[in-house]
Amino acid sequence: MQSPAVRVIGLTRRFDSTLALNDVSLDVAEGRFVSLLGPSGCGKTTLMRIIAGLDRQTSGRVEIAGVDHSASAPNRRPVGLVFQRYALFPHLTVAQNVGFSMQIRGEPQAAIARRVTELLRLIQLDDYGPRSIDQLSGGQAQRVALARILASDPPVLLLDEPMSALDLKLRQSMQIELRQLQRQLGKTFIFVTHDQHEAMVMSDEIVLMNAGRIVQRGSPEEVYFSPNSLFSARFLGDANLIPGTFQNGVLAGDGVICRPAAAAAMTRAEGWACIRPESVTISLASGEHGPNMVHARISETIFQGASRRYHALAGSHRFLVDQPTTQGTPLGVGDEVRLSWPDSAVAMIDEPTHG
Amino acid sequence: MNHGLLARILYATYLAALFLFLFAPIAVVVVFAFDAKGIATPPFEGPTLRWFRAVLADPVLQQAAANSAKIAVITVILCILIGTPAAFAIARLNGRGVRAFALVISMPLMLPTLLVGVTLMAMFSSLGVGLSMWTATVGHVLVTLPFLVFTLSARITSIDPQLAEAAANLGATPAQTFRRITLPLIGSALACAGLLVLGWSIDEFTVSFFNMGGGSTLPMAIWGQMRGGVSPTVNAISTIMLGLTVFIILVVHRLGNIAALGGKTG
Repeated sequence: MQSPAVRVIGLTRRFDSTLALNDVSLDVAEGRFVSLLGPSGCGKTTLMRIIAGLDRQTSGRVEIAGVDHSASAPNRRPVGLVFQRYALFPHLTVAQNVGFSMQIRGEPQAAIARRVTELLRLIQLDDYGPRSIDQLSGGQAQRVALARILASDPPVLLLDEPMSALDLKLRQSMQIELRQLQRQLGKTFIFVTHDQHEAMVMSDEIVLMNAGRIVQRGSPEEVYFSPNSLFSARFLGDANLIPGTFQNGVLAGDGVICRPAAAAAMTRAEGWACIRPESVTISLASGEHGPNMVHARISETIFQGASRRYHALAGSHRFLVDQPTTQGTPLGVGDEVRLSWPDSAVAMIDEPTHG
Repeated sequence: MNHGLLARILYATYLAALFLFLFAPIAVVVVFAFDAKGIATPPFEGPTLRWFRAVLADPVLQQAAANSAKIAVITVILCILIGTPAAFAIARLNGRGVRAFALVISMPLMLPTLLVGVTLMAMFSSLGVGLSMWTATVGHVLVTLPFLVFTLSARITSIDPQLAEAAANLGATPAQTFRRITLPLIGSALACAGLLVLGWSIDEFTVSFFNMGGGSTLPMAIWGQMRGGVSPTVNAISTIMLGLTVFIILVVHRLGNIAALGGKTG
């Protein structure tokens, strides 16, 4: 069996009294685009730095392509790191930056020049070789940082929030470019970000982290539609979170009954149901009543372009509902409506409803 | 309107007085170094290079200049060897220990050089070390080290520590990272600091005076000649040293600009 591109086992990192990483284990399969997602301080950057060897774990193991690299120096690890602020060498030209790793390895000048030209073409900065680093825009600097890593040809690339310094438009186009580049190169990408949209747009797999631990991992769809915790539910986007008690495989909240597609094993009698706003269908009230269906009154309507957001009050719950603007007729504040959602949209969360 | 004019006149007068006070003595020395008369009093009696020739031919002064040059060069080398790691420690580490270390390094800057010179001499004599050019060099290193360490650590602080990490990530060993990344980035600051130390060492009198033993440095030789009054040769040496100092200041200034530029992009 092929060993994973990166495997960390029981990784813990303690800074004085705080645990930046708390017993983290993770396998990343070769050729995957995996995002480490989480709020600042969740340990994602520490995990990445430990994989690159720039920080040392308090305990645990790091394997890269099946080889134990727990204690090896950063320059001996086959991983490339794109820094958040790019860390381009200010005293070298663009071409010298890109060729740095080949220069270090002592490759012939002609081979370096050829590869640098190739990479500059790849990042569409063909004529920028002789330029100085401070003549580059943010987006260009980022591409140069990427080309510099690609020149060293590591099987695994680590990217530390490389988009955070770019403006929104540029960021969106870079997200697609980076995704395409990853497919084209077939390398393993581990992408660190705190931006859930970015993680969803780009990743094969999201590894959601909080407080030094991995909270959940899965495809963007899985993590988004089936959060396993209140943290996952809230971090990935807006959610209707309904507290209640579990009875016969359904969750009974205040006037709302949520029925999941498959009964989940729960450890306690109470918990939460999570329903994403876009899973809810809104229609003018009729007499029906039952599981995954509730009567409500609209208290707010917000036009968001592609969708229209309604706030609808049902008993003590305030539901968030997103409906495509091109479907149905717009509803107004005070309208009596029926909210409903499919069984598959219900995710059960096994967490206490108090404290 | 009148008020503004008055302020401007006062300001101009103040500036003129300040410049006169600062530079008139230097101007007098330089002018009379070229005066044929041989006494530093007006009027000026025609230009000559006689005194400069006398200075260059004087064996005592030649010996003193050679001593000064040797001490200065060795001081610069020792300061760089000792001070560079200290500068990195102060710039890159933090904690109470490092702050205490920085304070200790900066001590000679704050102590009167007279005190440094006398106590150093006392220490050498109690250790039974004979005074020589080498003991004077130790004194020079002690006093000039803070200039080098703090000039350099300021520059190191301005360099992104991720540059070294990036180099390591691209396969460079610590030695390769230092040679290809760190050294080029601190090079101008190092040259700048080295020149400051050089200039300071050549000018230094007090510490040398107490620790030189039998020989003398250039400032000591000048002082020796002054005991017979201000001779035109003293003016000539002073002019040469002034020229040298101005040259060093200009070079440092130029390098300083380059270092500042590098700091912005780094």
